[in-house]
This record gives sequence, structure tokens and C-alpha cells, in this order.
Amino acid sequence: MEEYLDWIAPIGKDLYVIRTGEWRYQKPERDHEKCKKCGTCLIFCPTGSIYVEDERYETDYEYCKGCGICARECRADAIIMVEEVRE
Amino acid sequence: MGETIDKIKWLLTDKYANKALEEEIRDIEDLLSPGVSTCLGCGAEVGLRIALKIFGKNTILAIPPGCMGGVGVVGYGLTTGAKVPVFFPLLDNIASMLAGIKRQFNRKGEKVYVLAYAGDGGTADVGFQCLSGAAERDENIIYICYDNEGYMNTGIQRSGTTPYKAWTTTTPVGESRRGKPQVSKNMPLIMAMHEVPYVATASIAYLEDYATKLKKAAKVEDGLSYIHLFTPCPTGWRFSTDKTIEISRLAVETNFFPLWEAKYGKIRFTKKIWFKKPVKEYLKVVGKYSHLTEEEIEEIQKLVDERYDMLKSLAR
Amino acid sequence: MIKVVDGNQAAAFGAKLSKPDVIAAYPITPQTPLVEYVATMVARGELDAEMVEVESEHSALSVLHGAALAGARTFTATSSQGLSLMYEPYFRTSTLRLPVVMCIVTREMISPQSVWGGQQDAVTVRDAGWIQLYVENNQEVLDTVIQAYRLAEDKKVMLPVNVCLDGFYLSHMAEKVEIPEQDDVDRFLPPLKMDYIKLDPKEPISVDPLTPGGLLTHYRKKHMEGLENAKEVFEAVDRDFGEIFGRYYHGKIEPYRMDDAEIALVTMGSMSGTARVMVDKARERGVKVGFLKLKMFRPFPKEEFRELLEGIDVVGVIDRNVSFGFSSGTVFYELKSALMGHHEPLMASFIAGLGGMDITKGHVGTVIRFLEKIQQTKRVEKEVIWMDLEEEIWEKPLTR
Repeated sequence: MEEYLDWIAPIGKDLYVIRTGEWRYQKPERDHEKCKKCGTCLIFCPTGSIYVEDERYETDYEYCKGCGICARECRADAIIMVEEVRE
Repeated sequence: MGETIDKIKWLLTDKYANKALEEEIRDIEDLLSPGVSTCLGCGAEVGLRIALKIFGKNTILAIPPGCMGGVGVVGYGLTTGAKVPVFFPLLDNIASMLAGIKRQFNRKGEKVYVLAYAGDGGTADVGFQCLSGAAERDENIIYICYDNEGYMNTGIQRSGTTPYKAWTTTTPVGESRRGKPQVSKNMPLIMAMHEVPYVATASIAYLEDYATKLKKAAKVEDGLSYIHLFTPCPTGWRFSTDKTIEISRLAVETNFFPLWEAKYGKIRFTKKIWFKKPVKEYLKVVGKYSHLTEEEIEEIQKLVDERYDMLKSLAR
Repeated sequence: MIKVVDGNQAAAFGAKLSKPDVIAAYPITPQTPLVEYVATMVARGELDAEMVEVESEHSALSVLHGAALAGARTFTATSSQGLSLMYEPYFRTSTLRLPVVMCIVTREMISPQSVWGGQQDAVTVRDAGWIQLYVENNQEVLDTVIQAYRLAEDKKVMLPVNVCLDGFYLSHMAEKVEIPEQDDVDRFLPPLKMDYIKLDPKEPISVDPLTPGGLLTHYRKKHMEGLENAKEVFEAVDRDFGEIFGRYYHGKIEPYRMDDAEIALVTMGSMSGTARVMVDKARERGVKVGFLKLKMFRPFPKEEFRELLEGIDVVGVIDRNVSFGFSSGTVFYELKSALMGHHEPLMASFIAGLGGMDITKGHVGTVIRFLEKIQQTKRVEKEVIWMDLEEEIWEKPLTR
């Protein structure tokens, strides 16, 4: 009986994840010297790909789609978009 | 004198507004899947991630058909796109389904946030009746409308909130038609006139303001709260993907999309624009307005001013 | 406790005794009094439930979707245009496997504009995956609502159920009805447990993710299995009910005087009472006629019909509805296709009682005469007979 009740109705359990970093045609590069650590890039990143490690702001390239919002919004001009080069 | 101090204060706080919010939310777990297939520079995705961080795990999330549903927030196959319970209501029963969930949780004596993150089509057009009904019945639900001014997921068709003269695939620009011939439905004001406990407009360029409003909505226990979130769409509005936030900011700075809140129908501005920009500055960077002539821009300026004045006359 | 109640009130009593958590309904003729009765019970504190006075039928069923996903036992009722407005969430109720119980107080579909009885509304939505039970009288209305919850919430079924009662003929006619004791109902109906689909922050899952075709096919097959299971489960539910309450309805199909019958009538809903009287009268004349009262229209009890109609010469089906496109009554063509490849009696379709027209003793008597003639001549001259349009019948219906 328990078996019959398994998956009789549409539900999802495991997390659905797409490696959206693979879409990128340009990538953000950060000049840590210029970074004022204001956090603007972090809150505006649509994919939530910016994180802080050892008090430095970094981008998770696994999911960053390369939209360029971080570079445009950065008040310190610490981020530039460069062409993504893949092997 | 007081006004000058306010101006200075605004200049200062605006510049550093993000820091406080950033510190607050930075270490909160992201409850949305890290990889969902939104377009590059998606405004709606910004709004959803922040909302989930504010509401936290004790939330049940409705994602109706539309962009957020299409990109996998409800998952695909046997998966889920969020770390909170999430479901697809029908496009036209969002508020009713949420009301049913909330009523049963109330009955069980369990507190939970029931939250809709719905597009403008499901909110202002086909789902409007049930939203209006839920508002009138004081259903204790939180409803965020991410307004990208059209049916973007199905390929950029006009909706009730598509603005005057805007190009969409169903209001094309040609010899006899020049974009949408009608003005947009003033959805947040319509909701405010339901005299529900809380209604607000918000913009993804002013996230601190948005977060504050989310927190106010979360506190409401005696009825519906509604947040109308302005979320530009690079794909549908025809602008480059890095300009989403900039365009959102311009919409506020030109009074095209003023920020305000209303408690039980009483309106109050939450963002005073001291240096109002002409609406032209906004229109010229958004591709869906690229066909506009100077006369048409002036006409839109007039409409924007009139709508703002009307709002001002209602505000405290 | 014995009370004199109309069908709407009987349904409200059935709902109340089943202890629903959330009720949402929108008034529509002829279901309106049902909503009023339920609202009154809630207001008086006799029924402890969340009552949601929605702005449309679409929302009524949608509220119940949310409530059921949060674990609630739910109840609603509608008619006709309300049901068709509900169609979008209606289909989804069954495909999400939500055990909602909904009364359909049956009424014609417009156009032409009509507020009167007919089974067109409920019959038209037959392929949307619900279980549909049609009842004969007000006692059966009440009892079937309680039974419907047991059936809907059975682990082998987990599907929504419609209890269909004829608008006005049952909904607005008062009859003597025994109201069961709450303790007995509690014994019969255990609390609902929803664990295969739910919305709960303690166990976050997604409900209804985008589903590719192969997986969707899997869910469709499971759904059909659930419906098939309902046939067997309902027999057990009805028997259990009989043991506790002393009223047994013979499950999916009730046979009446069928033992030596050569001619069979098939009826659905309140017309069955009239058929009972007229079969008795025909028997007095020596006609070997019986009838089958079809209670479970969905899932359609194909196997039972094949068994019950084995060796029967002539079958007449009275339909209070039409099947557009098949050009007969709906139950008629369904029954005909169910018998294909098995014993195939001569069959005729009788359409009667549309738009609030009565199905009188005269109508049923005439139907029996028609069937006798078919038996004698061994041929069906006219397969579909519109009872209220045939001049001969119209002028002087046969009451004997």
C-alpha cells in the first residue's frame, strides 16, 4: 500500500540546479585593491553568485551568467567584464 | 533649512543604503536554487531571492505560471527549485489557493507565511478577480507582484500593466499602430483602494526600501499585504543585461514608478525624489520605447506627471 | 433522529457530520440553500470549520486546493454554470489527487437560459478524473456525502468525489430523513491523512513541478488505477455503511426486480423512484421488466453491467442529459460501448426531463411499452426517442 501511494501525484523533492555558469560569454573580473566592500554587487546579483570569503568579495563562476550588473553598479569601478575564454 | 538637511541626508543614505541590507542578508541561506534558467540580468530573480531571505524557511511559496515558473522555481520532473515548500497555482487562482492554505494552517494553530510571487499577468489581468476577492475577505496572505510589464515568459505580449506606447509582440509598431494604445492599469493603487492592511510599491534598485516593506508585510496579521515590485526585463524591454538596476532606478527618479506605501488605504511616499529627472531619460534607455517621437515623449511626460499628482493628492 | 429536510439540507447535514476543516462555496441556483445551511451551521457553532465565502466558484474549488494541500478535509457544492466556471481547478483537483467532496446540485447548462433541473452539468465533466455518484432521494444524499469522504480518502483511491443530486427534484423537495449519530459517523469515517502530497515548511517539497510527458503518463496511469480501485472500495464502503447505519444501497448499481427480467431499464438519480413504481405496475401486467439504478457513473461500472445484463433481451436507458456529437443520451452510449463484445441486447435511448421537465410515471410507463414492442418485434426502429417531443407520448403518456 505504501508503495501505491509513492508518486501518485506530481511532487518534487531533490533540488533542481542548472549550471548556469556555462552560459557565460563574458565574465566579471574584480580588482580587490579598488573594491570598497560596499556590498552593492552582492545584493544586486540576480543569481546570488557573489559571496564573501576572508573579507574579499568573490564570484561563484559555477552560476554567474555574466549579465554584467555587478560591473555596472560597482561604485568603485572595481569590476570589469572580460570575454569568457573556454578551452 | 529642514529640507536641505533632508536632501543631504538622502544623498548620504542613498549612497550607503545597500551596506546595511548587505550585512543583514549576506549570511542568510539562499532558499532558491542557485541555478535557475532566468534570462541574464533578470530583475524578477533579484526580487525573489531577497524576498525569500527576508521571509525565511517558514514560508509556503506560490509561483504561478510565468517567468519564475518557467525557469524552474517549482522544479522539473521529480525536483524542486526552492528549499521552501513551493507550488504552481493556476494563473488565475493564486490568491484563492493561498487563502486556502493559510486558513488551514490557522485552523491547526501553526504560523506560516504564505507568499505569492506572481507576474503582472496573473495579478492584474487573469488572476485579478480572485486577488480582489481575497483582499476584500481579509485573507492573511502576502502577495508580491513582479511587474515586468507584460507576458514575458510567453514571449513579450502586452498585459494590463504594459505602459502607454510600449512595444510588445502584440502591440507592435507600424504605420497604423505605435505600441500599446492604452495606459497601464494602476494596479498598486487599485490594491490600496481595497483598504487592506498593507500595500506598497517597490523597486529592485531600492532594495533596502523593498526589504523594509517585506518586513512590514510579514507583520500583517489582519488581512492581505500586497507589494508591487518593478522588475525590468532585458529580454522583453530590449536593453542590455547589465542595465536592469540602472533602469529600475531611473524609473523611480523620473516618477515613472514612484515608491510609496499604504496602510488601510492611507498613502505615504517612502522615497522622496529631490532631483526629479525628465521621463525622457528613462524612455531613451529602454528599447521598447525606441520608436517614440519627441511629441510622444512629451505626451508620456504629461501622463506621468498627472498620475504622480493624483497620487500626491491622495497621500498624507 | 428523524427530520423532514430538503436535499440541500440533507447534503449540509452529511457535510457537517463528516467534519470538514475548510468549506468554500459560492451560491448558485439550485444549490444556494445548501450554502446557506452550511453557513448557518458554522455561525451557530454547530459545525467547527473555516467557512470561506468566495467571490466565484473558480475560487471556491481553488481555496479547497490550498486547504487540501495543507491537510484539510474539504467540502463544496455547486451547479451548472458554477461547475463550468470551476472546470479549470476541477480537472486539477483529480490530477493532484486531492480528496475533495463536492455536491453537484444538477441543473441544465445554458443556453437556452434555464435555471431548472437536468444532469447536463455533471455529466458533461465526466472525463475530468473525478468519481461521480448519483443519488435517488434525500436520505441517500446525506448518506452518500458521508460515504464519499470514506471513498475519496481511501489510500487505494485518493480522488475527489461528486455527489450529484437532481436540482429541485431533490434539492428543494422535503422528505423524511434519518440524521445519523455523530459517534457512528466518527466510527465509520477516520480522520484524513494526506502524506503523498502536501505543503508544509517542516517537509519542503514542490507541488506540481513542470512534468515531462513520460512522467506525466506515469501519473495518468496511476490516476486510472485509483479510479479502478474505487469500484471495489466503494462496494466495501457501502457494505460497512450498511452495517453501521442499517442502510445499504447495493454499491455502484442497484438492481430492482432483475432476477427473471427480460427487459431492463437503466436510470440515474431521482427518476429511479418513479421507475420503481412503474416497474412494479408493469410486473402486475406480467411484463418481465426490472431496472438498474446507476449510482456510480464515474468510474463507469462496465463489468457489473455486463454481468447484470447477461441474457437480457432489451435495455432502455433514460437520460436526463444529451451527448452532443454522439446524438443520444450519455449513459446510453457509455453502456452500449461497455457491452460491445459481450452479450449485446437490443438498446434504445430515451431523453427526458431536460430543463426541469418532469419525468412522470407516464414517461416511464411509455418507455416500458416501447421496450416491450422492441422485444416483440426484435428490432429497434428508432434508437433515440425524445420523450417530450414525440407527439404521441406528449399527448397521452401511459401511466400503466
